[in-house]
Amino acid sequence: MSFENSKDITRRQCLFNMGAGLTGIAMNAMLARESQAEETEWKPPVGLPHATPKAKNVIWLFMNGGVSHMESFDPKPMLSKYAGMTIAESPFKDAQDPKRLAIERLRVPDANGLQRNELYPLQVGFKQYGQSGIEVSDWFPHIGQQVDKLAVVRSMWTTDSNHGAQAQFHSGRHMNDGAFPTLGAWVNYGLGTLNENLPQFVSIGSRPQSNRRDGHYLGPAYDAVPLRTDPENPLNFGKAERPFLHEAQSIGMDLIHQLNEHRGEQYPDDPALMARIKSYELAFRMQQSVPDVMDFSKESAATHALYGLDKKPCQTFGRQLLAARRLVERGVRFIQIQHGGETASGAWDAHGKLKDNHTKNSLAVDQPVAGLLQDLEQRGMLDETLVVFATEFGRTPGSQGADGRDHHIFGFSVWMAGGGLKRGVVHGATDEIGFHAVENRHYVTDIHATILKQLGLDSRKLEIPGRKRLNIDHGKAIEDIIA
Amino acid sequence: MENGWSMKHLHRLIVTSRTYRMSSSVAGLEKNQAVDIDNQHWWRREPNRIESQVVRDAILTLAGTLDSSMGGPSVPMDKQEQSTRRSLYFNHSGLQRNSFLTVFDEAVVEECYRRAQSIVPQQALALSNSGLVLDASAKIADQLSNTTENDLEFIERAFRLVLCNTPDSFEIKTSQEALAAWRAVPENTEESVRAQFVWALLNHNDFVTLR
Repeated sequence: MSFENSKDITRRQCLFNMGAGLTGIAMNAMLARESQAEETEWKPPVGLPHATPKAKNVIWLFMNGGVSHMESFDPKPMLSKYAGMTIAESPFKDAQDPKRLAIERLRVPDANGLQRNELYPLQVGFKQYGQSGIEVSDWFPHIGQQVDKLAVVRSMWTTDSNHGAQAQFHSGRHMNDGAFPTLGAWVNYGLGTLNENLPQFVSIGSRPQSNRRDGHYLGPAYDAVPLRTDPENPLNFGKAERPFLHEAQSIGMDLIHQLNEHRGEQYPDDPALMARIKSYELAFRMQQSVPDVMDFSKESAATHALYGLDKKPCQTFGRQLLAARRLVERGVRFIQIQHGGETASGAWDAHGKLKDNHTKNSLAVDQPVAGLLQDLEQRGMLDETLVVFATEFGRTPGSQGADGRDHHIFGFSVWMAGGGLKRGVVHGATDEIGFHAVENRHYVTDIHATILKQLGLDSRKLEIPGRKRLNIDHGKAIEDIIA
Repeated sequence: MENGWSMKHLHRLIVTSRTYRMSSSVAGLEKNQAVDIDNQHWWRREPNRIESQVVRDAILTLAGTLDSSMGGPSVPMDKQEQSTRRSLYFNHSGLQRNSFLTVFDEAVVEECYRRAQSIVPQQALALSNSGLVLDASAKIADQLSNTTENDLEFIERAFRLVLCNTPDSFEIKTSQEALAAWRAVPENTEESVRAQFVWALLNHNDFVTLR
């Protein structure tokens, strides 16, 4: 194959190209045909949904590390009943049938992500909440009170039992496949903005190493813009540190814009340049809009209390969720909030001391999340805002060490609320020990498809030339939970 | 090895290679793009964002204030804003990180010192609002003005110095228009007008990009 990118071709080069070209001829012809077929049909998205949307905004809450599904939204009393017995000795031994374990794709040769045989009892109680009577563990009493707003999916599965599954939950692909655009990036790419003064895709909270970016092949313009929720210092370099008249600054911004656009003619299709032009336009306006979003002083004391801002353990997450509601009010499309992403594996990764770990983490998120749901409902925003509560995988029914659970990919729970979904429903189920998703099984991209459907987007219409996606990348919307 | 382990030889071989000297532009090369969208066959150069430390050091170098001395104790957090030492000597830890450098993606220990090349509005704010850039703009403009009073010459020299590029007619024209607009701002002086122009070039995409 020859790739021409220099004006002068030497004799040697010419001969080389001829030789190398022979093997490439057939392939070239093949690829050219393919690219022609795509060229005639493909147009970039115009920012309008493909179907009438039911939801306008998404608040994506991601619990890094892997929340125990049995000790959150899918309680399994059989674990306590048969505690101490190995799975092979228990009535549930067919869970370990090698054929049923075959979906696991990758085993990292370390101490984690292994089969854990001895059943480990539930570390917390649970009860039924609301009219729906959905069972929720005692670690999430506030969310339990809001259970009639939730659509709980108890039959999730994924393929990789290491924390690369975090990125996998966002993009549908494990990092070993390469880096692929995340759901938020697709939404950002597919839909127009509702507020020119703020980024339409925002990320709050620390993001673990494998999951720092979003746009990937769509380009850095579709990455989430990270925002901080410190009202004292919402934005570094938020105003000029030396006297600089606004008028003079905006003349300069115009010049920068013109010069960069001009460079874009010499360097077309440079995604970084396009992203930089966009980032300058946004930065100029964010100087005003971001401090305004992060100024919570005008929120009532009742609102502060609702999100738990008066309580130390949940203050940080509470602030982040209140910021999310304020961003939704201002038209930000997709707000991605990462909990516990400060460490490489994630805060919920309870290989040991599960009880301490989940007690502490649930205390940080439970009240703020419930507060967010109530607040959105009170303001009439829950119908058009889709809230997602997700994690990369569940945890093993068996014990790891004395008091922990390992990564578990065969069955785990995720819930969604609002955005035109059914309320107070459970969809899918795991077996009696929470090992396998057995009913209405869903891979992570089914969550993506459901959200895109509510936003009125069709992921197949967003595909770009040269980037064929597989069926599993698109997923299937979970129709059963759509109202 | 054959050349006596000469690094110089190796560098020359790399920088004079066809691959290295390719343009990063895809103009007129749509065919290549259709065949190899990820540039796996190196049919063009990949534009690169310069690293955080290089961004800061380059600004100070242009202003003529970079302290290039080697060795010595690292610069603690509270002295960094005033410091003109190379960014390499800045103390940084998990808790305390220089806000200017961090926004341009630092090498992170947990990630085997790999760096991302993010593009976020916060970088635009750091380059347009920081005292570092605003002070440097004035100094660079001063030095350029010392050698020329002629606008056209000033524009051309500023482009060459800051962007390593000769401006074309469009760039000269828009620059002249901007200078005129700045001069019309009553509070502006001749010095501040030229500083503002240099400031704009430091905020040009290609100041932080290697093509």
